Amino acid sequence: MKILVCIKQVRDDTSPIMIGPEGKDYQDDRNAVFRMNRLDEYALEEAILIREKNPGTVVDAVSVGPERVRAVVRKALEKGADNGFHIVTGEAAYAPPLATAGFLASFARSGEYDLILTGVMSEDDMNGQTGSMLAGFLDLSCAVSVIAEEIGENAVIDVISELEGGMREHAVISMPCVLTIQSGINRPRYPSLSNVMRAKTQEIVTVDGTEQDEQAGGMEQVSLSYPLKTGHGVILTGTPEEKAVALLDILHEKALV
Amino acid sequence: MKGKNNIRHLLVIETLEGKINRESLETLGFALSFHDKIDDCALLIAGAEITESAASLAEDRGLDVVVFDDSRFRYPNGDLLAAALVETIKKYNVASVVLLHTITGVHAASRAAATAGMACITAVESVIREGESTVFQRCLQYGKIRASIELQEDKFILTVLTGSFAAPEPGDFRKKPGTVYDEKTGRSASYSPRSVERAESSRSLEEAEVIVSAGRGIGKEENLEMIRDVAKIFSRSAVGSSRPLCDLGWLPYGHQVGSTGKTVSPKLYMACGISGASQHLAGMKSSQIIVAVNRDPNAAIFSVADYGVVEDLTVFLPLLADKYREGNWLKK
Repeated sequence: MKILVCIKQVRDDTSPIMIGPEGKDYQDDRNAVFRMNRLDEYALEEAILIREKNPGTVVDAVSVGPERVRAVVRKALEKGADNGFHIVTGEAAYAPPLATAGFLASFARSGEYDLILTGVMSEDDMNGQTGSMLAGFLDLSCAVSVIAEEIGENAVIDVISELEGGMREHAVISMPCVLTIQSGINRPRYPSLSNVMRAKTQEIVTVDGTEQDEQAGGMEQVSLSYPLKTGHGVILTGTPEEKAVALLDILHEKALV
Repeated sequence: MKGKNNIRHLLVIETLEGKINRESLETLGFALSFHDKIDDCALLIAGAEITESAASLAEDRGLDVVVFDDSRFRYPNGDLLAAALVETIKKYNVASVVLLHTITGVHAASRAAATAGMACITAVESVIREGESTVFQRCLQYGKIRASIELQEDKFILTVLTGSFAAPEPGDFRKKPGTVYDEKTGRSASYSPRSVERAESSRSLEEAEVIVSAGRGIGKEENLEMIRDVAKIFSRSAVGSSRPLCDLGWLPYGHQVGSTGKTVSPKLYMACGISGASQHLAGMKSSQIIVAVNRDPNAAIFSVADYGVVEDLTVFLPLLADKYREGNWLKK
Protein backbone atom coordinates (compact mmCIF):
# COMPACT_ATOMS: atom_id res chain seq x y z
CA MET A 1 0.00 0.00 0.00
CA LYS A 2 1.13 3.54 -0.70
CA ILE A 3 0.09 6.33 1.64
CA LEU A 4 0.56 10.08 1.21
CA VAL A 5 0.37 12.33 4.27
CA CYS A 6 -0.06 16.06 3.62
CA ILE A 7 1.41 18.18 6.40
CA LYS A 8 1.44 21.90 7.04
CA GLN A 9 3.89 24.06 8.92
CA VAL A 10 2.22 26.52 11.30
CA ARG A 11 3.38 29.19 13.71
CA ASP A 12 3.82 27.90 17.23
CA ASP A 13 1.20 29.61 19.33
CA THR A 14 2.67 29.11 22.77
CA SER A 15 3.95 32.68 22.64
CA PRO A 16 1.54 35.42 21.47
CA ILE A 17 1.09 35.69 17.71
CA MET A 18 1.61 39.30 16.65
CA ILE A 19 0.38 41.11 13.56
CA GLY A 20 2.97 43.00 11.51
CA PRO A 21 3.04 46.80 11.19
CA GLU A 22 1.10 46.85 7.92
CA GLY A 23 -1.72 44.83 9.40
CA LYS A 24 -1.73 42.46 6.46
CA ASP A 25 0.47 39.71 7.73
CA TYR A 26 2.09 38.31 10.84
CA GLN A 27 5.03 40.06 12.45
CA ASP A 28 8.08 38.80 10.65
CA ASP A 29 10.58 38.50 13.44
CA ARG A 30 13.43 36.04 13.44
CA ASN A 31 12.22 34.58 16.73
CA ALA A 32 9.02 33.19 15.23
CA VAL A 33 8.88 29.47 15.97
CA PHE A 34 7.25 27.10 13.50
CA ARG A 35 6.10 23.52 14.00
CA MET A 36 3.98 20.83 12.42
CA ASN A 37 0.19 21.38 12.46
CA ARG A 38 -1.02 19.08 15.27
CA LEU A 39 -3.91 17.65 13.24
CA ASP A 40 -1.37 16.58 10.60
CA GLU A 41 0.72 14.93 13.31
CA TYR A 42 -2.29 12.71 14.03
CA ALA A 43 -2.61 11.98 10.29
CA LEU A 44 1.08 11.03 10.06
CA GLU A 45 0.85 8.79 13.13
CA GLU A 46 -2.21 7.07 11.68
CA ALA A 47 -0.28 6.35 8.47
CA ILE A 48 2.58 4.85 10.46
CA LEU A 49 0.15 2.71 12.51
CA ILE A 50 -1.32 1.43 9.20
CA ARG A 51 2.19 0.61 7.97
CA GLU A 52 2.91 -1.34 11.17
CA LYS A 53 -0.19 -3.48 10.53
CA ASN A 54 0.45 -3.82 6.79
CA PRO A 55 4.11 -4.64 6.11
CA GLY A 56 5.37 -3.33 2.79
CA THR A 57 3.38 -0.11 3.09
CA VAL A 58 5.23 3.05 2.08
CA VAL A 59 4.46 6.37 3.82
CA ASP A 60 5.32 9.56 1.89
CA ALA A 61 5.06 12.98 3.56
CA VAL A 62 4.61 16.17 1.55
CA SER A 63 4.35 19.84 2.48
CA VAL A 64 3.69 22.98 0.42
CA GLY A 65 5.37 26.30 1.24
CA PRO A 66 8.52 28.41 1.29
CA GLU A 67 12.02 27.18 2.27
CA ARG A 68 11.27 27.12 6.02
CA VAL A 69 8.64 24.42 5.45
CA ARG A 70 11.36 21.83 4.83
CA ALA A 71 11.79 21.58 8.61
CA VAL A 72 8.40 19.88 9.02
CA VAL A 73 9.14 17.46 6.20
CA ARG A 74 12.33 16.57 8.07
CA LYS A 75 10.28 16.21 11.26
CA ALA A 76 7.94 13.81 9.43
CA LEU A 77 10.95 11.67 8.47
CA GLU A 78 12.08 11.72 12.11
CA LYS A 79 8.63 10.51 13.12
CA GLY A 80 8.87 7.64 10.68
CA ALA A 81 7.79 8.69 7.18
CA ASP A 82 9.71 6.77 4.50
CA ASN A 83 10.11 9.63 2.02
CA GLY A 84 9.83 13.40 2.28
CA PHE A 85 8.73 15.82 -0.44
CA HIS A 86 8.69 19.60 -0.43
CA ILE A 87 6.69 21.60 -2.97
CA VAL A 88 8.60 24.88 -2.83
CA THR A 89 6.53 28.03 -3.27
CA GLY A 90 7.40 31.71 -2.90
CA GLU A 91 7.45 33.53 0.42
CA ALA A 92 3.82 34.74 0.28
CA ALA A 93 2.53 34.04 3.76
CA TYR A 94 -1.10 33.48 2.82
CA ALA A 95 -1.91 30.50 0.66
CA PRO A 96 -5.59 29.95 -0.20
CA PRO A 97 -6.57 26.29 0.32
CA LEU A 98 -7.59 26.03 -3.33
CA ALA A 99 -3.99 26.82 -4.37
CA THR A 100 -2.46 24.43 -1.81
CA ALA A 101 -4.88 21.65 -2.78
CA GLY A 102 -4.01 22.27 -6.44
CA PHE A 103 -0.30 21.73 -5.76
CA LEU A 104 -1.00 18.62 -3.71
CA ALA A 105 -3.29 17.22 -6.40
CA SER A 106 -0.66 17.59 -9.16
CA PHE A 107 1.85 15.92 -6.88
CA ALA A 108 -0.46 13.09 -5.81
CA ARG A 109 -1.45 12.27 -9.41
CA SER A 110 2.06 11.06 -10.14
CA GLY A 111 2.21 8.82 -7.06
CA GLU A 112 -0.64 6.30 -7.42
CA TYR A 113 -1.52 6.51 -3.75
CA ASP A 114 -4.04 4.12 -2.20
CA LEU A 115 -4.69 6.43 0.69
CA ILE A 116 -4.16 10.14 1.31
CA LEU A 117 -4.30 11.42 4.88
CA THR A 118 -4.22 14.96 6.23
CA GLY A 119 -5.44 16.84 9.29
CA VAL A 120 -9.09 17.94 9.32
CA MET A 121 -7.87 21.56 9.42
CA SER A 122 -4.79 23.65 10.10
CA GLU A 123 -4.42 25.38 13.43
CA ASP A 124 -3.43 28.70 11.87
CA ASP A 125 -5.98 29.36 9.10
CA MET A 126 -8.64 26.91 10.37
CA ASN A 127 -10.28 26.61 6.95
CA GLY A 128 -10.81 22.86 6.96
CA GLN A 129 -10.84 22.89 3.15
CA THR A 130 -7.59 21.45 1.82
CA GLY A 131 -8.29 17.72 2.22
CA SER A 132 -11.79 18.02 0.75
CA MET A 133 -10.56 20.12 -2.19
CA LEU A 134 -7.75 17.65 -2.84
CA ALA A 135 -10.33 14.84 -2.97
CA GLY A 136 -12.42 16.98 -5.33
CA PHE A 137 -9.51 17.65 -7.69
CA LEU A 138 -8.52 13.97 -7.73
CA ASP A 139 -12.15 12.78 -7.90
CA LEU A 140 -11.57 10.50 -4.90
CA SER A 141 -14.02 9.71 -2.14
CA CYS A 142 -13.32 11.42 1.14
CA ALA A 143 -14.23 10.86 4.79
CA VAL A 144 -13.76 13.90 7.02
CA SER A 145 -13.07 14.38 10.73
CA VAL A 146 -12.10 10.72 11.11
CA ILE A 147 -11.59 9.51 14.70
CA ALA A 148 -11.21 5.78 13.95
CA GLU A 149 -10.40 3.71 10.86
CA GLU A 150 -9.92 0.05 10.14
CA ILE A 151 -8.88 -1.31 6.79
CA GLY A 152 -10.76 -4.49 5.92
CA GLU A 153 -11.05 -6.84 2.96
CA ASN A 154 -11.20 -5.61 -0.64
CA ALA A 155 -9.69 -2.21 0.11
CA VAL A 156 -12.75 -1.14 2.11
CA ILE A 157 -12.17 1.00 5.21
CA ASP A 158 -14.57 1.22 8.16
CA VAL A 159 -14.42 4.79 9.43
CA ILE A 160 -15.97 6.73 12.28
CA SER A 161 -16.32 10.47 11.68
CA GLU A 162 -17.00 12.99 14.37
CA LEU A 163 -19.89 15.37 13.68
CA GLU A 164 -21.34 18.21 15.75
CA GLY A 165 -22.51 17.82 19.32
CA GLY A 166 -20.49 14.65 19.93
CA MET A 167 -22.38 12.72 17.20
CA ARG A 168 -20.40 10.03 15.40
CA GLU A 169 -21.07 8.71 11.93
CA HIS A 170 -20.13 5.13 11.08
CA ALA A 171 -19.40 4.65 7.39
CA VAL A 172 -17.50 2.60 4.85
CA ILE A 173 -15.29 4.01 2.12
CA SER A 174 -13.31 2.31 -0.66
CA MET A 175 -9.69 2.96 -1.46
CA PRO A 176 -8.23 4.91 -3.13
CA CYS A 177 -9.61 7.71 -0.97
CA VAL A 178 -8.78 10.72 1.18
CA LEU A 179 -9.29 10.75 4.96
CA THR A 180 -9.06 13.97 6.96
CA ILE A 181 -8.03 13.13 10.50
CA GLN A 182 -9.47 14.61 13.69
CA SER A 183 -7.39 15.02 16.85
CA GLY A 184 -7.47 12.28 19.45
CA ILE A 185 -7.49 9.39 16.94
CA ASN A 186 -4.11 8.21 18.29
CA ARG A 187 -1.17 9.42 20.37
CA PRO A 188 1.51 10.78 18.01
CA ARG A 189 4.88 9.30 18.83
CA TYR A 190 8.14 11.07 19.49
CA PRO A 191 10.87 10.51 16.93
CA SER A 192 13.07 7.49 17.60
CA LEU A 193 16.83 8.02 17.74
CA SER A 194 17.37 5.81 14.68
CA ASN A 195 14.84 7.78 12.65
CA VAL A 196 16.39 11.07 13.77
CA MET A 197 19.77 9.85 12.55
CA ARG A 198 18.31 8.64 9.25
CA ALA A 199 16.39 11.89 8.71
CA LYS A 200 19.61 13.91 9.11
CA THR A 201 21.08 12.60 5.90
CA GLN A 202 18.02 11.56 3.92
CA GLU A 203 17.32 13.68 0.87
CA ILE A 204 14.09 15.63 0.77
CA VAL A 205 12.83 15.70 -2.79
CA THR A 206 11.91 19.20 -3.87
CA VAL A 207 9.26 20.05 -6.43
CA ASP A 208 9.09 23.49 -8.00
CA GLY A 209 5.87 25.21 -7.01
CA THR A 210 6.75 28.78 -7.95
CA GLU A 211 5.13 28.69 -11.37
CA GLN A 212 1.61 28.23 -10.01
CA ASP A 213 2.27 30.85 -7.35
CA GLU A 214 -0.08 33.35 -8.93
CA GLN A 215 -3.08 31.08 -8.43
CA ALA A 216 -5.05 33.15 -5.96
CA GLY A 217 -7.97 30.88 -5.20
CA GLY A 218 -10.39 33.67 -6.02
CA MET A 219 -9.84 35.61 -2.84
CA GLU A 220 -7.42 37.85 -1.03
CA GLN A 221 -6.73 38.11 2.68
CA VAL A 222 -6.74 41.90 2.93
CA SER A 223 -6.05 42.45 6.61
CA LEU A 224 -5.51 40.85 9.99
CA SER A 225 -6.68 42.25 13.31
CA TYR A 226 -6.96 41.28 16.94
CA PRO A 227 -10.40 40.20 18.17
CA LEU A 228 -12.71 43.12 18.87
CA LYS A 229 -13.08 44.02 22.48
CA THR A 230 -16.85 44.14 22.53
CA GLY A 231 -16.63 46.44 25.52
CA HIS A 232 -19.39 44.99 27.62
CA GLY A 233 -16.91 43.04 29.73
CA VAL A 234 -14.97 44.33 32.73
CA ILE A 235 -11.28 43.52 33.04
CA LEU A 236 -10.44 43.31 36.74
CA THR A 237 -7.40 45.30 37.84
CA GLY A 238 -4.96 45.27 40.76
CA THR A 239 -2.72 42.64 42.29
CA PRO A 240 -3.67 38.98 41.82
CA GLU A 241 -5.03 38.98 45.41
CA GLU A 242 -7.14 42.04 44.73
CA LYS A 243 -8.51 40.50 41.57
CA ALA A 244 -9.40 37.29 43.39
CA VAL A 245 -11.27 39.23 46.09
CA ALA A 246 -12.98 41.43 43.51
CA LEU A 247 -14.17 38.38 41.57
CA LEU A 248 -15.52 36.71 44.71
CA ASP A 249 -17.37 39.95 45.55
CA ILE A 250 -18.97 40.02 42.12
CA LEU A 251 -19.96 36.35 42.26
CA HIS A 252 -21.39 36.87 45.76
CA GLU A 253 -23.40 39.84 44.53
CA LYS A 254 -24.82 37.60 41.80
CA ALA A 255 -25.68 35.01 44.47
CA LEU A 256 -23.37 32.43 42.94
CA VAL A 257 -21.22 31.92 46.05
CA MET B 1 -42.54 19.87 -12.34
CA LYS B 2 -41.99 22.95 -14.45
CA GLY B 3 -38.46 23.87 -15.40
CA LYS B 4 -36.50 26.72 -13.88
CA ASN B 5 -33.58 28.38 -15.57
CA ASN B 6 -31.70 30.38 -13.01
CA ILE B 7 -31.05 30.46 -9.30
CA ARG B 8 -28.78 33.31 -8.19
CA HIS B 9 -28.17 32.32 -4.60
CA LEU B 10 -28.51 28.84 -3.17
CA LEU B 11 -28.91 28.25 0.58
CA VAL B 12 -28.32 24.71 1.79
CA ILE B 13 -30.50 23.16 4.49
CA GLU B 14 -28.88 20.11 6.10
CA THR B 15 -30.85 17.09 7.22
CA LEU B 16 -30.37 14.10 9.49
CA GLU B 17 -32.54 10.98 9.36
CA GLY B 18 -35.18 12.74 7.27
CA LYS B 19 -35.45 15.81 9.50
CA ILE B 20 -34.20 19.26 8.63
CA ASN B 21 -31.52 20.81 10.81
CA ARG B 22 -33.20 24.04 12.00
CA GLU B 23 -29.82 25.69 12.54
CA SER B 24 -29.33 25.57 8.75
CA LEU B 25 -32.03 28.25 8.51
CA GLU B 26 -29.35 30.67 9.71
CA THR B 27 -28.16 30.65 6.08
CA LEU B 28 -31.37 32.60 5.37
CA GLY B 29 -30.32 35.08 8.03
CA PHE B 30 -27.01 35.48 6.25
CA ALA B 31 -28.77 35.97 2.91
CA LEU B 32 -31.05 38.65 4.35
CA SER B 33 -28.15 40.60 5.80
CA PHE B 34 -25.97 40.14 2.71
CA HIS B 35 -28.40 40.69 -0.17
CA ASP B 36 -30.90 42.90 1.73
CA LYS B 37 -33.62 40.89 -0.01
CA ILE B 38 -34.15 37.20 -0.31
CA ASP B 39 -36.22 36.89 -3.51
CA ASP B 40 -33.19 35.79 -5.53
CA CYS B 41 -32.50 32.91 -3.16
CA ALA B 42 -33.58 29.30 -3.35
CA LEU B 43 -33.08 26.49 -0.85
CA LEU B 44 -31.42 23.14 -1.48
CA ILE B 45 -32.39 20.23 0.72
CA ALA B 46 -30.89 16.77 0.43
CA GLY B 47 -32.35 14.09 2.67
CA ALA B 48 -34.22 10.81 2.98
CA GLU B 49 -38.01 11.11 2.56
CA ILE B 50 -37.61 14.84 2.78
CA THR B 51 -40.01 16.04 0.05
CA GLU B 52 -42.81 16.83 2.50
CA SER B 53 -40.57 18.94 4.76
CA ALA B 54 -39.20 20.65 1.65
CA ALA B 55 -42.72 21.50 0.49
CA SER B 56 -43.66 22.98 3.84
CA LEU B 57 -40.48 25.10 3.85
CA ALA B 58 -41.35 26.34 0.33
CA GLU B 59 -44.77 27.26 1.64
CA ASP B 60 -43.67 28.89 4.93
CA ARG B 61 -40.73 30.80 3.55
CA GLY B 62 -42.02 31.58 0.09
CA LEU B 63 -38.82 30.33 -1.49
CA ASP B 64 -38.22 27.83 -4.25
CA VAL B 65 -36.68 24.60 -3.02
CA VAL B 66 -34.43 22.21 -4.92
CA VAL B 67 -34.86 18.84 -3.27
CA PHE B 68 -32.76 15.70 -3.50
CA ASP B 69 -34.97 13.08 -1.87
CA ASP B 70 -32.66 10.09 -1.70
CA SER B 71 -32.16 7.44 0.99
CA ARG B 72 -28.40 7.88 0.60
CA PHE B 73 -28.84 11.25 2.34
CA ARG B 74 -30.34 9.68 5.50
CA TYR B 75 -27.05 10.36 7.30
CA PRO B 76 -24.69 13.26 6.54
CA ASN B 77 -22.81 12.53 3.32
CA GLY B 78 -20.62 15.46 2.30
CA ASP B 79 -19.25 13.74 -0.81
CA LEU B 80 -22.74 13.19 -2.20
CA LEU B 81 -23.95 16.62 -1.08
CA ALA B 82 -21.02 18.15 -2.99
CA ALA B 83 -22.08 16.23 -6.10
CA ALA B 84 -25.67 17.47 -5.69
CA LEU B 85 -24.36 21.01 -5.29
CA VAL B 86 -22.18 20.87 -8.39
CA GLU B 87 -25.03 19.46 -10.49
CA THR B 88 -27.39 22.18 -9.21
CA ILE B 89 -24.81 24.93 -9.75
CA LYS B 90 -24.38 23.87 -13.38
CA LYS B 91 -28.04 23.25 -14.14
CA TYR B 92 -29.35 26.51 -12.65
CA ASN B 93 -26.26 28.66 -13.25
CA VAL B 94 -25.93 29.40 -9.52
CA ALA B 95 -23.69 32.34 -8.53
CA SER B 96 -23.35 31.73 -4.81
CA VAL B 97 -23.92 28.91 -2.34
CA VAL B 98 -24.15 29.26 1.44
CA LEU B 99 -24.01 26.41 3.92
CA LEU B 100 -23.83 26.22 7.68
CA HIS B 101 -20.32 25.68 9.05
CA THR B 102 -20.67 22.03 10.04
CA ILE B 103 -18.27 19.16 9.39
CA THR B 104 -20.48 18.05 6.49
CA GLY B 105 -21.14 21.60 5.29
CA VAL B 106 -17.44 22.50 5.11
CA HIS B 107 -16.60 19.30 3.28
CA ALA B 108 -19.39 19.72 0.72
CA ALA B 109 -18.53 23.41 0.24
CA SER B 110 -14.81 22.79 -0.29
CA ARG B 111 -15.24 19.80 -2.54
CA ALA B 112 -17.88 21.54 -4.65
CA ALA B 113 -15.74 24.69 -4.89
CA ALA B 114 -12.76 22.70 -6.18
CA THR B 115 -14.94 20.78 -8.64
CA ALA B 116 -16.98 23.74 -9.91
CA GLY B 117 -14.05 26.21 -9.86
CA MET B 118 -15.57 28.62 -7.36
CA ALA B 119 -13.91 30.58 -4.54
CA CYS B 120 -14.55 29.22 -1.04
CA ILE B 121 -14.53 30.88 2.37
CA THR B 122 -15.37 28.83 5.46
CA ALA B 123 -16.42 29.84 9.00
CA VAL B 124 -17.62 33.32 8.01
CA GLU B 125 -18.68 35.28 11.10
CA SER B 126 -19.63 38.64 9.65
CA VAL B 127 -19.81 40.59 6.41
CA ILE B 128 -19.00 44.25 5.91
CA ARG B 129 -19.75 46.21 2.76
CA GLU B 130 -17.30 49.02 2.10
CA GLY B 131 -18.38 50.85 -1.04
CA GLU B 132 -17.84 48.49 -3.95
CA SER B 133 -16.07 45.82 -2.00
CA THR B 134 -17.42 43.18 0.36
CA VAL B 135 -15.25 41.97 3.22
CA PHE B 136 -15.87 38.65 4.96
CA GLN B 137 -14.52 38.21 8.46
CA ARG B 138 -13.41 34.97 10.06
CA CYS B 139 -11.14 33.83 12.89
CA LEU B 140 -7.65 32.37 12.66
CA GLN B 141 -5.24 30.93 15.24
CA TYR B 142 -7.92 29.56 17.58
CA GLY B 143 -9.63 32.94 17.67
CA LYS B 144 -6.54 34.99 18.54
CA ILE B 145 -6.55 36.74 15.14
CA ARG B 146 -9.34 37.91 12.85
CA ALA B 147 -8.90 38.01 9.10
CA SER B 148 -10.72 40.14 6.55
CA ILE B 149 -11.10 38.47 3.17
CA GLU B 150 -12.17 39.95 -0.14
CA LEU B 151 -13.53 37.87 -2.97
CA GLN B 152 -12.09 38.35 -6.43
CA GLU B 153 -14.67 36.18 -8.14
CA ASP B 154 -18.41 36.51 -8.62
CA LYS B 155 -18.99 32.81 -8.05
CA PHE B 156 -18.37 31.60 -4.54
CA ILE B 157 -19.31 29.14 -1.80
CA LEU B 158 -19.39 30.10 1.88
CA THR B 159 -19.98 28.38 5.17
CA VAL B 160 -21.32 30.60 7.95
CA LEU B 161 -20.51 29.96 11.58
CA THR B 162 -23.42 28.77 13.71
CA GLY B 163 -24.89 31.58 15.80
CA SER B 164 -23.48 34.38 13.64
CA PHE B 165 -26.64 35.17 11.66
CA ALA B 166 -30.08 34.84 13.26
CA ALA B 167 -32.53 32.61 11.40
CA PRO B 168 -35.45 34.83 10.32
CA GLU B 169 -39.07 34.07 11.25
CA PRO B 170 -41.38 32.67 8.54
CA GLY B 171 -43.31 35.97 8.53
CA ASP B 172 -40.23 37.84 7.30
CA PHE B 173 -40.72 36.49 3.78
CA ARG B 174 -42.89 37.11 0.78
CA LYS B 175 -46.21 35.34 1.02
CA LYS B 176 -46.38 33.49 -2.29
CA PRO B 177 -45.36 29.85 -1.76
CA GLY B 178 -42.23 28.67 -3.54
CA THR B 179 -41.98 25.80 -5.99
CA VAL B 180 -40.32 22.48 -5.22
CA TYR B 181 -37.89 21.19 -7.87
CA ASP B 182 -37.19 17.48 -7.69
CA GLU B 183 -33.62 16.47 -8.51
CA LYS B 184 -31.58 13.28 -8.51
CA THR B 185 -27.83 13.04 -8.34
CA GLY B 186 -26.33 10.59 -10.77
CA ARG B 187 -23.18 10.09 -8.76
CA SER B 188 -22.59 6.75 -7.11
CA ALA B 189 -20.91 7.20 -3.78
CA SER B 190 -18.02 5.19 -2.44
CA TYR B 191 -18.46 6.90 0.92
CA SER B 192 -21.53 5.28 2.48
CA PRO B 193 -22.67 6.21 5.98
CA ARG B 194 -24.27 3.31 7.89
CA SER B 195 -25.44 4.89 11.15
CA VAL B 196 -25.12 7.86 13.44
CA GLU B 197 -24.46 7.40 17.13
CA ARG B 198 -25.49 10.10 19.62
CA ALA B 199 -23.13 11.20 22.35
CA GLU B 200 -23.83 9.68 25.73
CA SER B 201 -25.45 12.35 27.83
CA SER B 202 -23.18 13.94 30.35
CA ARG B 203 -25.69 14.90 32.97
CA SER B 204 -23.24 16.72 35.18
CA LEU B 205 -22.49 19.41 32.57
CA GLU B 206 -26.11 19.84 31.55
CA GLU B 207 -27.42 20.14 35.08
CA ALA B 208 -24.65 22.25 36.56
CA GLU B 209 -25.39 25.87 37.44
CA VAL B 210 -21.70 26.67 37.39
CA ILE B 211 -19.14 25.22 34.99
CA VAL B 212 -15.45 25.74 35.57
CA SER B 213 -13.67 24.87 32.34
CA ALA B 214 -10.02 24.24 31.62
CA GLY B 215 -8.14 24.75 28.36
CA ARG B 216 -4.63 24.26 27.07
CA GLY B 217 -3.45 27.18 29.22
CA ILE B 218 -3.63 24.85 32.22
CA GLY B 219 -0.23 23.56 31.10
CA LYS B 220 0.03 20.33 33.10
CA GLU B 221 -2.42 17.56 33.94
CA GLU B 222 -1.68 18.02 37.66
CA ASN B 223 -2.98 21.58 37.42
CA LEU B 224 -6.49 20.23 36.84
CA GLU B 225 -6.64 19.95 40.64
CA MET B 226 -6.73 23.76 40.74
CA ILE B 227 -9.77 23.71 38.47
CA ARG B 228 -11.49 21.11 40.67
CA ASP B 229 -10.64 23.18 43.75
CA VAL B 230 -12.26 26.27 42.26
CA ALA B 231 -15.30 24.23 41.17
CA LYS B 232 -15.76 23.24 44.83
CA ILE B 233 -16.46 26.87 45.70
CA PHE B 234 -19.85 26.52 44.02
CA SER B 235 -22.69 24.27 45.07
CA ARG B 236 -23.99 22.80 41.78
CA SER B 237 -20.82 22.87 39.74
CA ALA B 238 -19.09 20.73 37.14
CA VAL B 239 -15.70 20.69 35.45
CA GLY B 240 -15.73 21.38 31.71
CA SER B 241 -12.97 21.36 29.14
CA SER B 242 -11.93 22.55 25.72
CA ARG B 243 -11.17 19.90 23.16
CA PRO B 244 -7.36 19.69 23.42
CA LEU B 245 -7.46 18.43 27.02
CA CYS B 246 -9.81 15.61 26.02
CA ASP B 247 -7.50 14.74 23.12
CA LEU B 248 -4.62 14.53 25.57
CA GLY B 249 -6.70 12.14 27.67
CA TRP B 250 -6.62 14.45 30.70
CA LEU B 251 -10.42 14.54 30.84
CA PRO B 252 -13.02 12.25 29.22
CA TYR B 253 -14.79 13.60 26.11
CA GLY B 254 -18.00 13.87 28.16
CA HIS B 255 -16.51 17.03 29.68
CA GLN B 256 -15.91 18.73 26.35
CA VAL B 257 -17.76 21.98 25.71
CA GLY B 258 -17.94 23.28 22.14
CA SER B 259 -19.22 22.55 18.67
CA THR B 260 -18.01 18.95 18.70
CA GLY B 261 -18.92 18.55 22.39
CA LYS B 262 -21.70 19.82 24.62
CA THR B 263 -23.55 23.10 24.27
CA VAL B 264 -24.15 24.53 27.73
CA SER B 265 -25.74 27.64 29.19
CA PRO B 266 -25.12 27.65 32.96
CA LYS B 267 -25.58 30.63 35.28
CA LEU B 268 -21.81 30.99 35.45
CA TYR B 269 -19.18 29.75 33.01
CA MET B 270 -15.59 30.19 34.11
CA ALA B 271 -13.15 29.70 31.24
CA CYS B 272 -9.65 29.07 32.58
CA GLY B 273 -6.78 29.06 30.10
CA ILE B 274 -9.18 28.76 27.16
CA SER B 275 -8.18 30.91 24.18
CA GLY B 276 -11.73 31.15 22.84
CA ALA B 277 -11.71 29.50 19.42
CA SER B 278 -15.06 29.85 17.70
CA GLN B 279 -15.63 26.10 18.13
CA HIS B 280 -15.47 26.52 21.90
CA LEU B 281 -17.48 29.75 21.96
CA ALA B 282 -20.25 28.01 20.02
CA GLY B 283 -20.76 25.72 23.00
CA MET B 284 -20.86 28.25 25.84
CA LYS B 285 -21.54 31.78 24.66
CA SER B 286 -25.15 31.74 25.82
CA SER B 287 -24.06 31.24 29.45
CA GLN B 288 -25.57 33.90 31.74
CA ILE B 289 -22.29 35.15 33.17
CA ILE B 290 -18.91 34.41 31.63
CA VAL B 291 -15.66 34.85 33.54
CA ALA B 292 -12.41 34.40 31.64
CA VAL B 293 -9.00 33.83 33.20
CA ASN B 294 -6.11 33.89 30.74
CA ARG B 295 -2.60 35.26 30.75
CA ASP B 296 -2.88 36.45 27.13
CA PRO B 297 -4.78 39.77 27.12
CA ASN B 298 -5.54 39.28 23.40
CA ALA B 299 -7.26 35.92 23.91
CA ALA B 300 -10.57 35.84 22.03
CA ILE B 301 -12.34 34.53 25.12
CA PHE B 302 -12.21 38.06 26.58
CA SER B 303 -14.46 39.27 23.77
CA VAL B 304 -17.37 37.26 25.18
CA ALA B 305 -16.44 37.54 28.88
CA ASP B 306 -18.45 39.66 31.31
CA TYR B 307 -15.49 39.66 33.68
CA GLY B 308 -11.89 39.13 32.64
CA VAL B 309 -8.81 38.33 34.69
CA VAL B 310 -5.46 38.59 32.92
CA GLU B 311 -3.32 36.37 35.11
CA ASP B 312 -1.42 33.11 35.07
CA LEU B 313 -3.83 30.33 36.11
CA THR B 314 -1.36 28.67 38.42
CA VAL B 315 -1.12 31.93 40.37
CA PHE B 316 -4.72 33.06 40.23
CA LEU B 317 -6.76 29.89 40.75
CA PRO B 318 -5.11 28.83 44.06
CA LEU B 319 -5.47 32.44 45.27
CA LEU B 320 -9.16 32.41 44.40
CA ALA B 321 -9.75 29.16 46.29
CA ASP B 322 -7.68 30.42 49.26
CA LYS B 323 -9.45 33.77 49.44
CA TYR B 324 -12.77 31.98 49.36
CA ARG B 325 -11.77 29.69 52.22
CA GLU B 326 -10.42 32.61 54.25
CA GLY B 327 -13.78 34.33 53.79
CA ASN B 328 -12.22 37.76 54.24
CA TRP B 329 -13.86 39.02 51.07
CA LEU B 330 -17.22 38.83 52.85
CA LYS B 331 -16.12 41.22 55.58
CA LYS B 332 -14.89 44.00 53.37
